[in-house]
Amino acid sequence: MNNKLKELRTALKMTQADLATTLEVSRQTINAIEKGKFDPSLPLAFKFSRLFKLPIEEIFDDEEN
Amino acid sequence: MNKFEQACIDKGLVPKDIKNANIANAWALAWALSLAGISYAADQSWYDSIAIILAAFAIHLAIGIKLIFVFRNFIKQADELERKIQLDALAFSVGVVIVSFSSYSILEKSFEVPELSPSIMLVILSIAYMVGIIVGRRLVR
Repeated sequence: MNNKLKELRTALKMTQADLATTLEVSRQTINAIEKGKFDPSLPLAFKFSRLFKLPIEEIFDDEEN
Repeated sequence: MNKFEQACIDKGLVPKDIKNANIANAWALAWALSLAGISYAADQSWYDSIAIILAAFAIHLAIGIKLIFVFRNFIKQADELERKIQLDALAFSVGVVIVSFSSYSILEKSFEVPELSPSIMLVILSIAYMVGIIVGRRLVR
């Protein structure tokens, strides 16, 4: 699944480690999501949504659509 | 440190996962030691009463049950990427054991081959599980 996580994170001047700490996941999880190798759970997607103040569908893009 | 080495060790895991994994590993070690010790004692004919046999059985069973709950706790509380890696590795290891044993059972019916013991199953399961974890961690790095 494509996503804008990296650009949103860098816009907030956060490192992967900062984001991981804020959202209580591992840095590897953030890295894997940014690279499109792992799709986050719905609760984690909502955490991204609240942090970046954007709807989930603006952060994540389902390739099928 | 290359990706393979990072995948072999638990580099990158959150402290809570490392703590829970260490607890699960300690119980798995206790379970394996109790199995080896009780089996060795049985081979040496050290059990001279039914009470001792039942006590040894109860101890091993209790450690096994505790291990199941500790491992379940580790999976439930794990970081979501690590949980996926662990569950994929478990599915892979169970699949490898089922396929290898069912295939071997066909050979057993057709040829004179040594009988497979449960200990072989545990070894295959453990190796496949470790391979699954290492491959899973490498794929997401």
